[in-house]
Amino acid sequence: MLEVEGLTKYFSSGLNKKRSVKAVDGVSFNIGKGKTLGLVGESGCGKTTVGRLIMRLIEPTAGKVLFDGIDLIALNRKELRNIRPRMQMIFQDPDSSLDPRMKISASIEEPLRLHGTYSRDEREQKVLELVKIVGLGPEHIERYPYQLSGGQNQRVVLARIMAMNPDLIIADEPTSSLDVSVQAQILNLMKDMQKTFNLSYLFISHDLDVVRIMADHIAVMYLGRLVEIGETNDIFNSAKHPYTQALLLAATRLQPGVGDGAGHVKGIILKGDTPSPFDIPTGCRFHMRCPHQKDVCLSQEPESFEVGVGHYVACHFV
Amino acid sequence: MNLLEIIDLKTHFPTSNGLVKAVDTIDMSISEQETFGLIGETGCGKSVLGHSIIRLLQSDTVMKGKIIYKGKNLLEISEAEMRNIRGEEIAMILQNPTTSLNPVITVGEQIAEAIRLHQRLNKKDAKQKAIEMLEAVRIPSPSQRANEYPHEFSGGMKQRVMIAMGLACDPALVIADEPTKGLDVTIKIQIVELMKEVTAQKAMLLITHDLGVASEMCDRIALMYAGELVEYASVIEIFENPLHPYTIGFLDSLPGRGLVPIPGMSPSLIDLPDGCRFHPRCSHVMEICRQKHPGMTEMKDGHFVRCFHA
Repeated sequence: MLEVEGLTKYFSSGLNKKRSVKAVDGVSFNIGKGKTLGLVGESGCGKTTVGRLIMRLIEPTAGKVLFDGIDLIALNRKELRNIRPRMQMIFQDPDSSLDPRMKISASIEEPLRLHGTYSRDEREQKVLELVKIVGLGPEHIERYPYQLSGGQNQRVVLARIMAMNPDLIIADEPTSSLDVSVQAQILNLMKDMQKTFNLSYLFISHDLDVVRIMADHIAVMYLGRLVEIGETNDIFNSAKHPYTQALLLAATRLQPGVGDGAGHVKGIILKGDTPSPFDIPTGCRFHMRCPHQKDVCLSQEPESFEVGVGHYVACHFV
Repeated sequence: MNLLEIIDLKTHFPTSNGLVKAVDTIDMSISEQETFGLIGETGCGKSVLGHSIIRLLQSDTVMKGKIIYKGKNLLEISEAEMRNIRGEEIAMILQNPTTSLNPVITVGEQIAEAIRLHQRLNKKDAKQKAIEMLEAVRIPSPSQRANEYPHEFSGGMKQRVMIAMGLACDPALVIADEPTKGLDVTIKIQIVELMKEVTAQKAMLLITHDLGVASEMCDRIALMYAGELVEYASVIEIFENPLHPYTIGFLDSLPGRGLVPIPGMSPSLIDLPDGCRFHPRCSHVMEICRQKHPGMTEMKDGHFVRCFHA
């Protein structure tokens, strides 16, 4: 469904001294029809930028994005507008994703009005159908966003998205502002929708527990690069990159429960912070925090190579 | 021995929409050197409970009941006495260090300010103590970092500064309100490890919605729902033998434990349901749950639950 190759985005900043931030640097992955790729990484690693580049909300510096075989980067504005309904995006904060002055019904109807050829009656009918798909009732549609909870508003956002009948949904931390009991409702809804409508998801998150449930494949991102990508089970059971291992260890230790169950997890508790993307370390970007650091890591950036079926790792020592 | 005992505490806020019953009858205690976890979802009143203990609430707040700290009822003492207790006896570590730190004062001065308020130290000695505190929370090259401003620190480092500030006067009780909120997982584990270490000799009330952090740090855990505690017990009991349907639902809704959501949503603190406050969302609801409000019952040693069904 989606093929991303060598996607790169440099931002420049500063008036006099131009500095460039390598937010995304040569990212490649594929997402199959009806499949989910989980894109995992910590704040500032560039995962949100990847989502926005695919939507072409910002223009990439280099790279290719093929959506259903169509090269999105080569499209002009009109062609892009025609294809956009098929790829939709959902954001972290549902309250700021909806117009506070629009009733729920109007919010859901808006995309139908702009992109569809429906009559007014058909649109009303469609709004009711959409509301039902996302588990809300007709009693909700005459209200305003402030009268609904965060979880309900996120359902409204999903209804708006489904109005466009998309093939691909880019979900950027869709549940990280919600409480766990509500998070479970939204994640289950997204999984049901995926099954019913054969949707593909790019699921961007920092929460490994959530990604584990949602994703078929996982890509781990660090400072603008993918360090490891593979099937969900392979990532959780035989992670190869020291950064992935450290992430897993931290997540396992912080799993709710008695006894940390982390005995079998390789990896260490990382020291220090992620370096600034203004000032990316030479060689392997992870070398300053890596427990296995050797000379070659300081000078040479590791290539990504296959360690198992569809399992790629960018590290000199795997 | 109990360091802190809360008896029949109610904290209500009058608003134009009605009385917000943020804390509505809480009984609990924390013993010396114990870490007590208070778990709940957004709007259950857990932060208000934390702020009630050190009386950091708006002036029209109605508080009833008793908060007994070292034999003294904190709700009866004067504001001047309370000021001596805040920071020195009971300290708070807040969430969101970016807005809790003053952006135009160096980190070292901010910590020194807290120290000088409570201890008779001159500026130089207070600064030296601040540097020692930064070192204690593992900030590299502390004497140099003390002269830097908050914006020069990363999120995890700022949270370390908040911890240093909270512990600067060596309090006996620390109230930590979501100390790991918004931190990345590799940084979160660093902060959890650090807090465990530096508060080992202190009592702590850890307020969080993150059951993972709580299970790593706490001796006992309490679940709060709609202004009251619904269950509390040792960490092991909560995870291996949860009794309240809300606790069970909360655990089941975690991504690692089945992702089964609790239907419905938390009630408004202005308009609490009659009977058991959880009954509209409960799968074991009985007739009595709609009519009577269940009391806290000890099911076995130290394991308390508020449910007719348990």
